[in-house]
Amino acid sequence: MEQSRPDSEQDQRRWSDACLIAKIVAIDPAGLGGIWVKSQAGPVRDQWLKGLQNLINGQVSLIKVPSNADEGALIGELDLLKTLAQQKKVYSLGILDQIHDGLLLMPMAERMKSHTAALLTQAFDTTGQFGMIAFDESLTEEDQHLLSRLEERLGFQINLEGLSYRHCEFALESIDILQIRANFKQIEVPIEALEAMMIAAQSFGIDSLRVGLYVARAARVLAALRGGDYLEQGDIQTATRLVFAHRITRLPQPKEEQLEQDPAEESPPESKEPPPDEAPNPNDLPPPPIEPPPSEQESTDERNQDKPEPPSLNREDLEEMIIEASKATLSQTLLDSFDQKQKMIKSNASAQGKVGQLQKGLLSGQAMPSRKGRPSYKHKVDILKTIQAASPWQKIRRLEMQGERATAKGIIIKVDDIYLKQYVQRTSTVTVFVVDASGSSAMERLSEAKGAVELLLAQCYIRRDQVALITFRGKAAELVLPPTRSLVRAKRLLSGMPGGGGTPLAAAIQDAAQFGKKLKSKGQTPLLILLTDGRANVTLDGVGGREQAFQDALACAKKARAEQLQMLFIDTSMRPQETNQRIASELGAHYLPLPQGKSASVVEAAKMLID
Amino acid sequence: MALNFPFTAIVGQEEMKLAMILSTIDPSIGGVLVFGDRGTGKSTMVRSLAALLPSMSAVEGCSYHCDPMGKVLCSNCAALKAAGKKFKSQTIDAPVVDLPLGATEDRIVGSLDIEKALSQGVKSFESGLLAKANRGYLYIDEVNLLEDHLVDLLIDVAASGENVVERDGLSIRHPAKFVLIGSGNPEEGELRPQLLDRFGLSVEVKTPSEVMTRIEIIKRRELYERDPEAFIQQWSEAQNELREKIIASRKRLLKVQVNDEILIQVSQLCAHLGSDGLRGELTMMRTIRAICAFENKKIANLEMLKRIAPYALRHRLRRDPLDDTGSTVRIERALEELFQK
Repeated sequence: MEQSRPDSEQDQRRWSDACLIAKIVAIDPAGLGGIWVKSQAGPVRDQWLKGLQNLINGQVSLIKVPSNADEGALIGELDLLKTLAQQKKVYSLGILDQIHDGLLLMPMAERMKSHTAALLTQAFDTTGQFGMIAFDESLTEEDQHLLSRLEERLGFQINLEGLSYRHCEFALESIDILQIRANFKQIEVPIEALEAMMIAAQSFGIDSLRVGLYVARAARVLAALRGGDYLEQGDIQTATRLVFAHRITRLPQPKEEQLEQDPAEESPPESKEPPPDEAPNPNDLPPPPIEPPPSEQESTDERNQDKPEPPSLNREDLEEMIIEASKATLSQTLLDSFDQKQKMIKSNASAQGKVGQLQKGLLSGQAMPSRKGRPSYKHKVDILKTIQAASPWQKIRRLEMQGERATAKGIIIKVDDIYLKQYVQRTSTVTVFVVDASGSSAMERLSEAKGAVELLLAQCYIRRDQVALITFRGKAAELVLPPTRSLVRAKRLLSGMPGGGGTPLAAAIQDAAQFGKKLKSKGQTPLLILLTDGRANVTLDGVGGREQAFQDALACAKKARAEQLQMLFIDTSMRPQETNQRIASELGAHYLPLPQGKSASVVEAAKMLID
Repeated sequence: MALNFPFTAIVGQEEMKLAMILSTIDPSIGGVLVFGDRGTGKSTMVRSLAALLPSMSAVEGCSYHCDPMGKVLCSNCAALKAAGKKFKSQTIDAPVVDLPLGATEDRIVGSLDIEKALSQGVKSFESGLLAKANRGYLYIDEVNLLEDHLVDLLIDVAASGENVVERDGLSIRHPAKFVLIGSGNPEEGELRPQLLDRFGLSVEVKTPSEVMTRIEIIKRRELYERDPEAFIQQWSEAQNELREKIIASRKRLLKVQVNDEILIQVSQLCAHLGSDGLRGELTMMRTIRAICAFENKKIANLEMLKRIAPYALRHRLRRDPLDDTGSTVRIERALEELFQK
């Protein structure tokens, strides 16, 4: 990857934005949803968090939610021990009951179970009394992601990855949060600003409507932070920049296309100069749209006359300005990626990757016989069994009791009586296709693999299994389809899959094994199906060379075997290759020569292995 | 009660609005399934439904809010009635119950009342969400992510209108008739066909792409956030109007004539599309009736049929994994083939 320039300036900006966002969210947590913090645990993040704590200085509650928090911890539950002791229902207070306009701090948010996220987002939508700071500690793009349901509700994203500790100082100031809160609510957002912002959002391919609200809120808070009582251009500009930054999925279309969408256009407004392009990479950017129905123009003017407020905000100017401001935040690498539709689909997909995964837990599944134990949040008490266990001792216990409680009604239960329910959950199988997308025969093999994926998926709701697809070509392997049960999604992803290039078999085996390992750690049973004609010609380091590539593949296969994954090696070459058999045996995989690799027969073979 | 964005103030999403309204006019249509992108106002609309629903009378103190005039009663109320006692009735808002994704089986079906069991040694039933939703709405956000064993449970209750509890040493049955409303994003996982079939109508929502619509949505939302009470006040007239219209439509419902001719056409369409079971026909008939009542027409016609066919059949078609054509398109094509001369 090329480094565009020494990034100290950009880093500085990233950090100062992060600090600003902390301030904004501290003031209006519920209105802005929260922050998605991409960062490993480390001094920079600690520094940021310390700054935030300093900032709020106890004026707002900041409660930590562990990623394994359960329903009880979040929304409160029956406190069994107290209930037993006091012979009446005692509920413990959940985290969400205690947070009033405060912030939830969620470390390792990418590991959060979808159950927990559902509770959080439901509470957020209905009561809306808190904001969330989600620390996303995932290492790679493909690793794991915030649940999209959560992500959508977080107003901002900050990325502290790769920042140097030396540059990061959080200006220690404390602000009067409550005062500013009261102030910003008085500030009005002019309709023109809203309009401009929504148009800009659309031209950046931001679909979510929530974004508009977040910008409006953030702009008001910024104005209040400044101490002003009306919005200035700068406020809107900054707000848009911060909220839009990570949501942009495409660059604004050139002017003509925009106009087409606007049949209301009669005579263009007296020609506007295209604004000087101030974005960092002028060459890459198409001219920003100048757009807008003249009819709107009139009403805008009227409104401005009604309001003698100082800032006269013209919608078009605003729009331009917003677009420019947002563009300026895009780094070169990001801009490049817009050109590749493929990438966009991918990021979109992996963002949803984790959803739909089976939940592990001790709270659901098939019931097993209960066992004795101490109740904790992880377990459910088998009340009937508990009472049964306690009943023989009642007389004796009552005799032992003295005073008031001896005459109390009800059974006396001691902690030792408690039985816990146990559940087992069937683990689901994930069939991972690892498909060679290299060279000439790629197209055919790919389409057969696609067919196999679709066939398996079509039956998938019966088995409740999942299917994933990894392809390899050129220099590396790529997770094209994260584990899914959804035919709709699979089809969309499969439709735009590229082929051609070298055969990085070693990398493919390595990545596939790693992926399998990850699935295993989630409690799922992976089945890897490798479809290739062998003939590795790209080494692990991504350079050409047949012999080295083969040796690398063998080495990787040896290592992969240690993961003890179930594997099927389907040899699609015209004649069964001895080299392929060697790799397969190193892998400990079932070897199956299948020159045509027909979808149906692949599925058959897979099924045999599963059953 | 928490304030909700007014139903009538929701911009666009006409399909979804109509489906919701029809299901309030005739609950036996059997629920609405909303599929689409996030941030399109699915949840907002369902939650806004509560304020729109006409209030109803219920037996006082009954945890299943039985209808004093109704035939289906819970065991307590039935015993009272058998003893010849008169019910005290009260007026309540129609319940709209949120079923959280992570809800446990206990919370949904109900379970042993721990307090009573412990303090008095009495075995009694603590009712769950299904009881709460009786005679109202049960809303499941992200229904396609619901765990399998919960889906099984819902399928059964939604079909029978009765919740049978055989667990924790309890043996209880109580009425649980509710309109199921589900929402979700099909890209995150498919719904089992059995559950799909339980929904009467389905709609697909998209994020509005029209700039002016989007702006209008944000404007209203911003106004609402700034001062919810005033905003609701501002829309109260429209809300009342719609509520009155729903009440009037309910009364008209039984007077609507659906001729055999239309029924034959309905059957033809269903057979042509190869939808499984007869629920498609039934739903279509009820929906046609509801839309006629809503639009104050006395006799159903082909136009109505064409309008509601996609809603009622979209999710009932057999999916061919190798055919990409959307269900809606297939229905429209079938309509054209059958009824265009």
